[in-house]
Amino acid sequence: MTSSEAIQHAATEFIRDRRPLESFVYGLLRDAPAAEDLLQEVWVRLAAEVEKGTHLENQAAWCRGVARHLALRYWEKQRKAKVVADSALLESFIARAEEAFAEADATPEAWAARQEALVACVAALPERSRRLLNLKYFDRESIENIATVLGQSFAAVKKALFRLRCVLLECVERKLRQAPP
Amino acid sequence: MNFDELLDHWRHGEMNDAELAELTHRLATREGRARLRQDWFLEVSLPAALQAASTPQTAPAVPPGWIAAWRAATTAATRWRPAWRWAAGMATLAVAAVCLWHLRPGLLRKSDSQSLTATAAAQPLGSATEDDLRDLALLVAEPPVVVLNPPPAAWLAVLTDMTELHRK
Repeated sequence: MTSSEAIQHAATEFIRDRRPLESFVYGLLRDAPAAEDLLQEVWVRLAAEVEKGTHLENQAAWCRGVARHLALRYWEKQRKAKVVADSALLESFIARAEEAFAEADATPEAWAARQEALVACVAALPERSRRLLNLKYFDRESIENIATVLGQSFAAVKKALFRLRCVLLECVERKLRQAPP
Repeated sequence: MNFDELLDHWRHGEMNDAELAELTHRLATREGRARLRQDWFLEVSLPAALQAASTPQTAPAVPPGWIAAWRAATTAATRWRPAWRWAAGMATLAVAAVCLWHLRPGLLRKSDSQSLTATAAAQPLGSATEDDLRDLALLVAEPPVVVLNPPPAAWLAVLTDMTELHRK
């Protein structure tokens, strides 16, 4: 396999496994632009590794490992801004999170089924709830701004979002359980 | 504090050391790790799910054959291109419509005659109903598709570009 073919192959696999990696990175960083940068960095490192001729037994795991190190570095920088807690604790949390994604139902079909179930659950929500979710997750408004727009208190918006997330999580799991194997 | 509340605190950056220790401890179980996965998946997938769920689910009117073919071609051609290309495509469509206007009755097949859009296209503007014109306007003015989660081919193009940039 030529270097270019190897990169093409790695890219195909990277795209196939992007859902769990995105979830892992975004969950760890909680910041969309930072997560996007980190994912790009993972790809650049992967491409460099493949170009060197390294054979990766499990590319998804390799990418997750790189992402974990980069996430730790990200939080190291944030710690200087006194945002994060004890580093050993954070490290073990991130390691546990990596473990969670390592044992995931990580076939692309499973993630696609999950996405499909989520769309159905969101579609079944009342308009008011969808508006709230749109403001938070589509328009990326802060909870303060949403509270102002909806004329509600900060605590009420936060609680409503929390409940909606719980409802959606339960709904997705129920739909996946009901789906034929 | 239950597991979902701990995850919520993590998400909002409101977690103290004791809570982080508690969350890490709960991730020792398989159920805990599954819940974390589901929660983080939800966080990253909601924007696309909201967009997909807001797409009207009503069955669209079936356009006549030649219009359907044109729409398919323009959609495919414009999905991943900047807006100016879409505008150029629409301009081409307008020119083609003007050039082919006199041929319009012959272009309609039998099944087309049942379509409001086709009827509107075939009629002189003065005799078309308001609904016909609205349907036609919607058809012609359809904006380019905005896709938040690009399909694999687009990802591949982005990754290839990134690799090239990195090499340079």
